[in-house]
Amino acid sequence: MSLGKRQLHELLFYMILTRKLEESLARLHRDERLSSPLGLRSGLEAVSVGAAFVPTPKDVLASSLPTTGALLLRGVKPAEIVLEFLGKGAEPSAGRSGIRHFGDLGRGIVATTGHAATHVSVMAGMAFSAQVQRQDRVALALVSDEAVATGDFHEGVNFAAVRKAPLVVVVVRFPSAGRTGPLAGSEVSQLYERARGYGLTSLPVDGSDLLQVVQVVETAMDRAKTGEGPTLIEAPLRSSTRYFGNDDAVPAPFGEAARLDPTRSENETDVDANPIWRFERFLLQQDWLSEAERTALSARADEAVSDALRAADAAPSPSALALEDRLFHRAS
Amino acid sequence: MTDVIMPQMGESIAEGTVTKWHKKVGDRVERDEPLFEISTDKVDTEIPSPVSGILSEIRVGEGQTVPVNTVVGVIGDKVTKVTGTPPAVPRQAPSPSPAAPPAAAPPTERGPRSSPLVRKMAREHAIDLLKLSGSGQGGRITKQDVLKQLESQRAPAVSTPSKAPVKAPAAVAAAPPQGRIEIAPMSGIRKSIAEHMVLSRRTSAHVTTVFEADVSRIVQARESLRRRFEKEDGVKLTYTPFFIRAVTSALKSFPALNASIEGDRILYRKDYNIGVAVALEGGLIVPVVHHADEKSFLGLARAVSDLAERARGKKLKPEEVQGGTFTVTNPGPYGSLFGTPIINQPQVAILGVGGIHKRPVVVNDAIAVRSMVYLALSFDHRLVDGALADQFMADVKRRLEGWDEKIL
Amino acid sequence: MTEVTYLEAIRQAMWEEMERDPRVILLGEDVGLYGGAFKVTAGFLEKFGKDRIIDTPISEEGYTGVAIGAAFNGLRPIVEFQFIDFIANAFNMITNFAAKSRYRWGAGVPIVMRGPSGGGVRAGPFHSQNPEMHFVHTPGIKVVAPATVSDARGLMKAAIRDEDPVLYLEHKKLYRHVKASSADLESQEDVVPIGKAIVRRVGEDIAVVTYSAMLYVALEAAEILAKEGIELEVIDLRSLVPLDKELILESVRRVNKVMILHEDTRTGGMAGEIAAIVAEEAFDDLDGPIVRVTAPDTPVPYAAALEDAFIPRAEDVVRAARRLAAY
Repeated sequence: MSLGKRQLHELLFYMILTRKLEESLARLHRDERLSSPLGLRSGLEAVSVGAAFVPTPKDVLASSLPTTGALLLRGVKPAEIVLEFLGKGAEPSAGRSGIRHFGDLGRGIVATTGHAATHVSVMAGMAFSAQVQRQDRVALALVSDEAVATGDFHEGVNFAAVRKAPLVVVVVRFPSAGRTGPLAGSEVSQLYERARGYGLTSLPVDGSDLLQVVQVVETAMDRAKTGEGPTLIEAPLRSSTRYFGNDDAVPAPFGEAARLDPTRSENETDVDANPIWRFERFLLQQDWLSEAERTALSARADEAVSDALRAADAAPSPSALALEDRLFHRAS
Repeated sequence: MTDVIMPQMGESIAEGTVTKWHKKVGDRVERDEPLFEISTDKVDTEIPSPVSGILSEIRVGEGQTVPVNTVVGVIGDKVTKVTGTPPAVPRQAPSPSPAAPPAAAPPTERGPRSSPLVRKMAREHAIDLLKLSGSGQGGRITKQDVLKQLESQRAPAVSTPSKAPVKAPAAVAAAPPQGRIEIAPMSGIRKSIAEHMVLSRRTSAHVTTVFEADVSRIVQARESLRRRFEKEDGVKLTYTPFFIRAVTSALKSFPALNASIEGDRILYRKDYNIGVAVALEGGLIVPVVHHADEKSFLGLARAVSDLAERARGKKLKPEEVQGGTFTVTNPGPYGSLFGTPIINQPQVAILGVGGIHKRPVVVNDAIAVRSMVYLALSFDHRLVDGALADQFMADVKRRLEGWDEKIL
Repeated sequence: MTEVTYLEAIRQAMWEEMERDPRVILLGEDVGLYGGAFKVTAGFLEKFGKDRIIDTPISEEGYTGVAIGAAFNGLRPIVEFQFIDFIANAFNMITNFAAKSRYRWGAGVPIVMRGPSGGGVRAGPFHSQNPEMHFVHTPGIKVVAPATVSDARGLMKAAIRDEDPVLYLEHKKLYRHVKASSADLESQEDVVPIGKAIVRRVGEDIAVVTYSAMLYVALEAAEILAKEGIELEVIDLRSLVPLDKELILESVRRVNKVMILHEDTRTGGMAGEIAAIVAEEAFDDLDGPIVRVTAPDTPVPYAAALEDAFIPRAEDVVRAARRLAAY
């Protein structure tokens, strides 16, 4: 895929917007306007934006990770995301779904249930049904490395492998410090071995590098479309911190303020670990981005976020009268 | 002394009925020996004695239903008037309890057992469930019983002008009441009385005739008998048995007042079942002394006293409020001279007995102070003419005034 | 004129629907090459091809998920559980993904989940269960259980055409034992509406509410009781969700005594649910307690003597009816 300057700026914009939007959600939580634990993560921006950038509107995506960026790329407006978190959503969720379970078939997003990998076989089904209906369509499932242990993951991947269905599975590996789980601390080769067990290829990628993610997802999707079957992508992140809310202070490197902090470290490793900084550095070095342009993108993101918050504030809560609606299809 | 209690036979069981005592008061009973039998919603069973001893008291008799844990009897350890060792009573094997049906327990103090459906039908058709006998389990009134009753009621009363449904008439007053109002729902018994009273008035052509009677002799007689009856027989003697006795004898001479009307037929009742109205909180109930003419005076007194007590304690059996042929009522101790009572359908007459007061009257051209009472007879003019009613009352008066110990 | 068995009727219904609507596909273990463990889908692979008849690996949760994904993508999948007992492996997918999908994000799941349920064939605890209540209890799933040949056909068609997840419970004992003439079938309506019960026998003494194989037990008991002057009204629910509450209540209001009969175990069974509805909404029309005749609260035993005692029989219904009639 060749990307022009405009597209590169858009990619950066979405990463920045993701960050700022999630920070605003974190602030809402801190101000006690949201009650459930947020379960957001910093460091996901490259996977979130990169994996969602490649698919076309025809393709379908499902993620059990807090990939806000992916939603934005699929056409979900920031206000819709805030409304979902506030429990005030308009259709189709209308406040019923819970946070981070956004779905809209019209925009090619399948809502997950919050289980780590239940959606993998559903996406295998989307892929398989696209195949038999000769649709030019790929299904993508994003999961965490811990999900690989589930039966759901196995059954879904196995089915897609047997049918050579056009499925792409992105397995995000989070840094192992302080984590438990079967694959915590596992090496890249483990997923590779598992993939071979299904007769599949596993492609590794640095999950903190946007352009690498875009490239690998593109490769995987091409393989899917040419009938070569599913691909597993293993995307370790250099750094990622979780934010649940509660008493956590909004952590770095969440904080955009950290980016502007003149005393921050220019340590390359730190920059490598932060997908936004890393991409910015690349663009700046290539002269494909100026400081002024960067500032403008940031300002645009700020505006989008405050518009979203305003719209969300104005929206009404769902009516209790509608509680029992839409359990079943109603012929109109 | 050990209390014998009504056991709880299952988690959800709240009461049980004593169906049979295996021992009488004074009998010796051994520990674990079957002492009494009970019937509950889930199972009928024998209950063994908790200790050895003498059954010194039975508090809950056969046929009575009490809540779980009620003391039904007491076992003491004194041996009364027995020489030598008490006879060894062989241990009986418990009889196998039959497969428990969805048991309808015998009627409890709540009245005849029925079901929601039956109660609904009774409400809708203004049927007095107390008047029906149940053909269901344990005397339960079933849907069929009600349907039969409805059919027999459908035979229209000849002179009843309207064929309106048998319900309390809709409020005639169109305008709702003004002013401050407190609303309270009608109790079941109240509704029942309301419906019955209206129905009765519309069914019978009510006429009331009033007599007064000198009951000084009865007052004396009661005074002298009262203590004896209480001490020796444990019977509270009121004035009611006296009136019942007089009425019963008079009815034998005037059978038309012990009858009922069915369509265009007259049913002369050969039984003399005298109903005695008893005031309850919030209503009244009319237990019936069956075959009052066959009882001794003591028996009559005993029946009246027992019925009244159980009426107030809500322990009447359904048959005890059914089958009356004539009713005696008393307006109460509040000073009313007499009332004009409403006939208890399907009877044709009711005697209201006023309060007994000492009054100055003329006796043999002299003033004497006598115990006097007003007697108001309401009768159904469809069957009983005024002259006949008065003759009956004259007879009743005569019997009351000429009360003689020999009558006992 | 030929005889059509209950199994045949299911087969026919699926075949006709697959001919009628190219979006209908079928997934399950051994459904294609083998023609199905009970031969329900014999001939389907040859006729409809491997893109529509899918032999799945042993992965109930997985292939139910695949069906859901396919449903999102415009197909109308029928999912077979070789024995309905294995639906347990797909519990998460069905109750968390399929059942809640329309409610929470507007995406309908038009799948049919079917399989042989029920006992009486000496198949033991894991091949004889009646799992309906796990799904009756999960809002968002419709549940049907046909008892007759024409309902097997009509409800299958209705299920396939339904826009929501439908659990279709076939009773394995009825497969070859219940038959109808093809002429009779042809005279019936094609599609039987989901959510409507039917009165199979009119009576005035006791209403027996039942479904699936127990319909025949109820009818047998009705014959016996008729000789004693007790007339049973027999209601075949056909659907458990949605439940035809109105028909049940209408019957109770007329007949005033009701018994509920099912092969499923007692606690948490449909009888308790129906008893509660009747007590709440027709209390004043009851002339006797609501009675349940069900299997006891145990797994389905294998030995003949045990299984015969486990599954309700006509004599159980007769005994209970006699007591209720006499109440």
